[in-house]
Amino acid sequence: MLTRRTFLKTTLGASTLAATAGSAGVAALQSTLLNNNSVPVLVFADGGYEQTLAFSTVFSTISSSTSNTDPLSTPSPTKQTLSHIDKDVAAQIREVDDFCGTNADGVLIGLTRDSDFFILEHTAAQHGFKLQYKGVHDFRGEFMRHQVSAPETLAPVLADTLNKAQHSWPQQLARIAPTIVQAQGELVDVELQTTLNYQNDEPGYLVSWLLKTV
Amino acid sequence: MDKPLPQGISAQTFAAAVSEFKDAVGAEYVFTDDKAHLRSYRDAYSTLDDSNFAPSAAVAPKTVEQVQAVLAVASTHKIPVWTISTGKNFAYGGPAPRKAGYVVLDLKRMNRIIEVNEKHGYAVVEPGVSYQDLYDYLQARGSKLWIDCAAPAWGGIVGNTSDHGAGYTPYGDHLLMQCGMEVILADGTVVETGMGGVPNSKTNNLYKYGIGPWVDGLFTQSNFGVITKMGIWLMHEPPGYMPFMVTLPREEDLELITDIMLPLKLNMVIANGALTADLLWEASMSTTKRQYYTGTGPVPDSIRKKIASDLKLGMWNFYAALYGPPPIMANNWKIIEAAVMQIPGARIYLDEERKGDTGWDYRVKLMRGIPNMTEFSLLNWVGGGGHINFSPISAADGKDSMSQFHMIRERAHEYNFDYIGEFLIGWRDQHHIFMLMFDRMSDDEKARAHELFGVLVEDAAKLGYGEYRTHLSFMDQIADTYNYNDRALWRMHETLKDSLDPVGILSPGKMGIWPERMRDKQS
Ligand SMILES: Cc1cc2nc3c(=O)[nH]c(=O)nc-3n(C[C@H](O)[C@H](O)[C@H](O)COP(=O)(O)OP(=O)(O)OC[C@H]3O[C@@H](n4cnc5c(N)ncnc54)[C@H](O)[C@@H]3O)c2cc1C
Repeated sequence: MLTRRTFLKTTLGASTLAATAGSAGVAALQSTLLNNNSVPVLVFADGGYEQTLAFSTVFSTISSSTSNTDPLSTPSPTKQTLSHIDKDVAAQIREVDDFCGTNADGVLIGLTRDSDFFILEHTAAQHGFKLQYKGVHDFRGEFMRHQVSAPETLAPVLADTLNKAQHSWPQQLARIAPTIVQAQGELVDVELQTTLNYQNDEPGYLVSWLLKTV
Repeated sequence: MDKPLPQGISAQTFAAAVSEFKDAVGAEYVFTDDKAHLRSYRDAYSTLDDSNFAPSAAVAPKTVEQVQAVLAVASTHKIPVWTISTGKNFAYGGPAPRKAGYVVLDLKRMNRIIEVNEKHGYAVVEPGVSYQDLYDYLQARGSKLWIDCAAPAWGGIVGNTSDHGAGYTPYGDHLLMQCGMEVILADGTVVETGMGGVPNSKTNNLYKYGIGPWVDGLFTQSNFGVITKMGIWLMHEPPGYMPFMVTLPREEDLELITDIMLPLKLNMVIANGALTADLLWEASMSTTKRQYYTGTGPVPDSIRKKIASDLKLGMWNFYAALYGPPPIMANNWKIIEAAVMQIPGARIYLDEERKGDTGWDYRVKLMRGIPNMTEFSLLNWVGGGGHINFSPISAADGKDSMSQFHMIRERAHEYNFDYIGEFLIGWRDQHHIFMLMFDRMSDDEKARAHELFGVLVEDAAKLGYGEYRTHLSFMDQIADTYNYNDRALWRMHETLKDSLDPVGILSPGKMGIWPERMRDKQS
């Protein structure tokens, strides 16, 4: 369940956003989090899609790297676990229960199908975890539509990142995750379209999301 | 919206009750923080705003004594409590109460598997035991017993049976397989039903009826007591299992398959909870609507044909299984094959041809009682997660099935929704499940879905159909359709309610049964 929503419907070009956020803003938020790299994170990715794999790979490479100077890359959380959903999310329910039960300060992040998100969100909600960010990534053949619900300060930053990222949006989403963790406030919606030509629009649409305790 | 209070209860009284609930179960098991915990007791996926069903608190007892203490507090302060077990009743309201402000009585922590009897094939469980829990427990012990589960693994034996749920093995009629119950009445009295009335009963979970009236059913889909323990029969693993699927190329084949299957079901050649699912139900297991169609409204016929051809599906898809010693299965298979092949264009699939197909794989699991969550893929069809089930009972009769299917599909299309449905075949009846999928982020879709549901209830009643179960939003409307002889049946329920729960604290409004003090206040 989202908090009270304001809908900012924008068709974004890179220039629209420069005024609102810009990469300096991103870097500042990122560096705040870089100093706090002990957040336990459980990352979910549906097994079958190239985009979800790209998303999860960022987490696995980053967690194995030791030094980190790129402000747009994820710090290494101390307890980072990757969970690939293989068609049936039943196995992940217990994982979420265990994780949330023992890591009240933890974060759940995913790029998954909507149905998997529904199940994981409800399971986490029983431990007080709440939606902090959700993006719907809709494959429309010649273009891609991203609908982002995020705290007010972050929504334009996210939209800018997705807009610039083009095909590497899953990787960029993964990289910006620490910034999402830090952001606070009411969720607002931003919508943007990018002209992308996916040969294969197989997932139809995917959702990215982040849950943490209030 | 601020957290609601129970109707007619002052903030002061509520605070006193909360403090007493804390004494009863421990402060950490009384939840009042709307932002942190109570949100998980809402149903954000239905047609109305979830604040209509937002609880004021949730209380999670661990023992019978704690349940008794909670009910005593509720009685003293006239606080309505809404009982849930595993609380996953999605499509019918999830864990949410009938009205905003109720206190959810969450029995999830009562999660002991009290007994498993391998010889006689039964388990005795508390309300918090999920299908996955019981399955894992049996597997860990090398048990040769199968469970029968509903499609969602996170649902549970007591909650699902309480709402007349169904599964897909030969033990798919859950209430039929229930034997022995422990119930706490509103005044705290603990009742054992059936043979359990005999102290130290040796046959509590073997024979359902005891002596005198059989009352277990009274505590299901009702608000006459709180079930705290239930016996459920489990099937012995059969020596053979052979699932199969029949794809049917035309919409009108629903009539043929239903009529062909009825005698096979009645003679138990097909013994399990077989079903006939429509194209889109099956397609949504592996694809989404927008991959095929980005227009508005229901998927056009030309595209439906493409989906069917791409995914090797029929307009209808029949699933069933054979169980038993291989020679008996081989014999029954001949009968089934011959019967099915009367339908022009019907195509039979077995495991070797279909394995790896998501839709097939999860049905194969369900028909042998392996819990999973795959069916939630339905939610991906349109996106946005909204879903609510319209579930009329139809006769297991070809013409009847077609007429119900047409009734629902035409209305669904009129309101710009896809028909996504299945017929779960019982003995002589079918549960016709129309899963109404909508984008819960769209106020327009929600409003249309809500209106459509109400219209369907009326349409169905006019044709003599009633629903077997329903969402919180439509309980009163559907109860009103069971109105033979000036609502004689519901007046009887109300008499029972007033006698068993005179203060009216237990799940007021469940299935349109209201306690006296709240009866006139309902519109
Ligand atoms: C995709 C999908 C697939 C589904 N498939 C199926 C299916 O195959 N079969 C099926 O039956 N359903 C199905 N459902 C509906 C529902 O999700 C399941 O029935 C689920 O098992 C119900 O939740 P639960 O078991 O947690 O019961 P709960 O939510 O705990 O209980 C259900 C209701 O029973 C009553 N109740 C619960 N516990 C008690 C108690 N201790 N004492 C008295 N009353 C009580 C309450 O009124 C409660 O609201 C499906 C839903 C979806 C969304």
